[in-house]
Amino acid sequence: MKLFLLLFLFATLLVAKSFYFHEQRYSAALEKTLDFEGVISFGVNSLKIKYKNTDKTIIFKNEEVDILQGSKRLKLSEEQSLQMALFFETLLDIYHQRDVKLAKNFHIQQHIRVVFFIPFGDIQEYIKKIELYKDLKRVTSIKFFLQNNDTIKIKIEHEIQ
Amino acid sequence: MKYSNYLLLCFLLLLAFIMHKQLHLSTNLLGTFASKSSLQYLDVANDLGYTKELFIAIKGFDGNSKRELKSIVKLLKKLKAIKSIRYTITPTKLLKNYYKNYYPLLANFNAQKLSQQHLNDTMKNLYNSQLQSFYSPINKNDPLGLFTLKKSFPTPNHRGKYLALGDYGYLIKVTTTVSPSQMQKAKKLYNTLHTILSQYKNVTAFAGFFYTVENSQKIKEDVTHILLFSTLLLFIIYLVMLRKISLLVHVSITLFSSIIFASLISMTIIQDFSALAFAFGASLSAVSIDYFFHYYFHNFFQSKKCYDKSVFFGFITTVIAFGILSFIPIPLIAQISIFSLLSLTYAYVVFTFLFPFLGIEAVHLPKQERSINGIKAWYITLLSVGLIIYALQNAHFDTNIKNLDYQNSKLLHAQELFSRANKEKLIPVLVEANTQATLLEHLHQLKQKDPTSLSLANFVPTQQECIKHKENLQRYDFVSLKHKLTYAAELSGFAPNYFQNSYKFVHKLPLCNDLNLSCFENLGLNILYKNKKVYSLAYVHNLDKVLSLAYVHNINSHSLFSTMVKSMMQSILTYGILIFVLVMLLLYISVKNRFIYALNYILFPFAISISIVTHFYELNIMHLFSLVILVAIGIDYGIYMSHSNRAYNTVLAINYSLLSTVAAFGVLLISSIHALSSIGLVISLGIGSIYFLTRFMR
Repeated sequence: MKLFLLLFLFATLLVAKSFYFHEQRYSAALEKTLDFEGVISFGVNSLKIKYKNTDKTIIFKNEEVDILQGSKRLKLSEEQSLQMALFFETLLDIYHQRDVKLAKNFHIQQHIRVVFFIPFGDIQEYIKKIELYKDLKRVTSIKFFLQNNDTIKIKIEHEIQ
Repeated sequence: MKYSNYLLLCFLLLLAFIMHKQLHLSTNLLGTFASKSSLQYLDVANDLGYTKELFIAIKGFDGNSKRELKSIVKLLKKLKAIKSIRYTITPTKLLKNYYKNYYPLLANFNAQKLSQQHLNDTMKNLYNSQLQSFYSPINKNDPLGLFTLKKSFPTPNHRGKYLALGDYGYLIKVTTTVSPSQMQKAKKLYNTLHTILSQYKNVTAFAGFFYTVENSQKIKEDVTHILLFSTLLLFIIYLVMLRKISLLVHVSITLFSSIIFASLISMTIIQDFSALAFAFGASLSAVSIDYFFHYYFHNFFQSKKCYDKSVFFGFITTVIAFGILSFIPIPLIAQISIFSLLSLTYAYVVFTFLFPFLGIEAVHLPKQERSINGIKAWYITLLSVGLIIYALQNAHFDTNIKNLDYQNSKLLHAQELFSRANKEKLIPVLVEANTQATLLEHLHQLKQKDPTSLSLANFVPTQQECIKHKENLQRYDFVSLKHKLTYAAELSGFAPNYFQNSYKFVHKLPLCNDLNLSCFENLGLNILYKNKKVYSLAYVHNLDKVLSLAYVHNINSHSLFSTMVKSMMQSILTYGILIFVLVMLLLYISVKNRFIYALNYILFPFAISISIVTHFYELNIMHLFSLVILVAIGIDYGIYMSHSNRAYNTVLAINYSLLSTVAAFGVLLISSIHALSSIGLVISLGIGSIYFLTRFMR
């Protein structure tokens, strides 16, 4: 199992992998569940999200977040930028299963098919809990429980070859 | 009486042993150049954390650099002498709490009365934004965005969330508890940091106290080498000259005792007596050997006379010169003068009143007179005046006091790296007031003068502004707004009661005089209460503009010392003229007819030294000081020679004492501390010129 995980990690480190994803977002303000789809690409230290039916792309690279609309870069406030960077860095660490790094901000509870991340420190301001679902081969979905009672579940579907 | 010289030495050594804990030598070179009063604002700034900062740069922005950055931070956090560490642009918890607690008082408030229609439209837009694929959480406290927090200051240079030093690499800003003047603490932290950072490649660190530790070590080594070398050289010279071991022992004991005597008194009456003053003062004490040589070659010890007129006048003029200089408002020069005055007086008293009882045998020199077919005194005077005029036209002054210190190229390079890559180029100033409220007003006035400055005014309103803002909020009808908001939210489709807590925070506003400012320490913007005054630092771009405000004080060491050096040069000039006038008077009283002849012993060495120094170098404060000392030394020889320039024994005595003075001061030339090598150069040139006069002037 350990060898498998190591090989998996090694493979993910070599190239960025792109997946179709399905996002299920519950908005406490609207009391509604919203569904979105798109493509997510995981690099070693980068992340790219492109939603369907929009020309906006989120790029997280070198710990900085950029939102592009076509070729135009949209401006984010510093607070927004820092929050989003924190969110995407966590997402990236969870995807790559960087448990040592994650342990600096989360108490990690491992179960057979699910891992719970209970935050402490600064990140606790925004996130209540994270659940990571995985099968034997890979991460299948990640669910964020936010402090404002919103939840965001990202279900990673098949890989784009 | 025969053993009294030994007894005196034993007594002084015993005294030194008893007092050794109170005796202390300071190696803080800059502090010894500036008077305490002129540095008082620098002291306050030090208490506020200025100069207690440590910078660490990790080259590059790759994964390895980031790992090193985090690993260094982890190790630094364990150190007690570290007050705070900044390596990200993420605000600290304390700062976040400050904004959280005082948000309504700090944020700009849009007090415009909003119509129901306007609220309906705003809430509809907010609702639609939630349906977008890009997630943006709602600010439940202020859904209408009535409060906007203006940006307090430009975000420092960064890569991702980590601080960056330009394009060089990552940067860690550390506030320590150590200031450059705290030698022991500085040494301890320096060693610990050195051990930690030596594990990493491509890491450069710099702190003000690094100079204290490294330069102090260098200065101490330099001074020790100079003293040892000089003592050895003098010992050999005396041995060759006197050829009598017992006499050599007595002379050495007297000179050594004179140094201990001067050290004990100087270090007792002067706090932070400088190591450089000690080194220079000890070298100057060798000048007193001329009293001995004059007595010895004129058989004074066997003559039963109370005193020798020439030696007495020489001694008195030198003592008066040093006495005047001891009042100069430049600590280093005043310290050297006091030390020299004490050591010369001790040596004079012992040579004059004790040596006649030591049973020293008479010297039998041939009673021949020298035949001098040299240059006329008038020609030398004219040449000297010409050289002085040339020097004055040629003179360029070096006002950078740091150039006098040991030139630590490694640290200077590191300092240069941090200042070059730091594009913000903010200059610190100290702002003073009687109360915290007035201080904030002062800081806001400073901000009006230099809008790009960084101070507490960027984060904290004045008390008046705060009260006005608070009254404005209290006047606004938030109850009615809340009704309209609830209606508009329901109409747009939001969950019922989702906004029930909106704008609740305005009903319990914090007090304006109760702002807790401790969270700004991390940014170097804390407040200090000292001597019934309140101080804080501000960082400005335009120093000249803000210095026009009476409560703003310059603490930038470069410009501060540059101004100070100019005033020091003025002081030296004033004191130099005063000494020159007095020396002229004493010289006239002493030699009368041969005034011009004796005057040349002052003018010629002065002219040679100043013309050569100004031709090859920029004139610094130590050159000027040495020129004044040269006048004090030259006068002795002027008096001796004008009294008996043809006597073989006088010339021999002078040549021997010149040789010993060169041995004492010439050694300073090899010093790596520019202050000492400057003195060595001037005095050596001057002594060489005096020797020339004894040989070739008639």
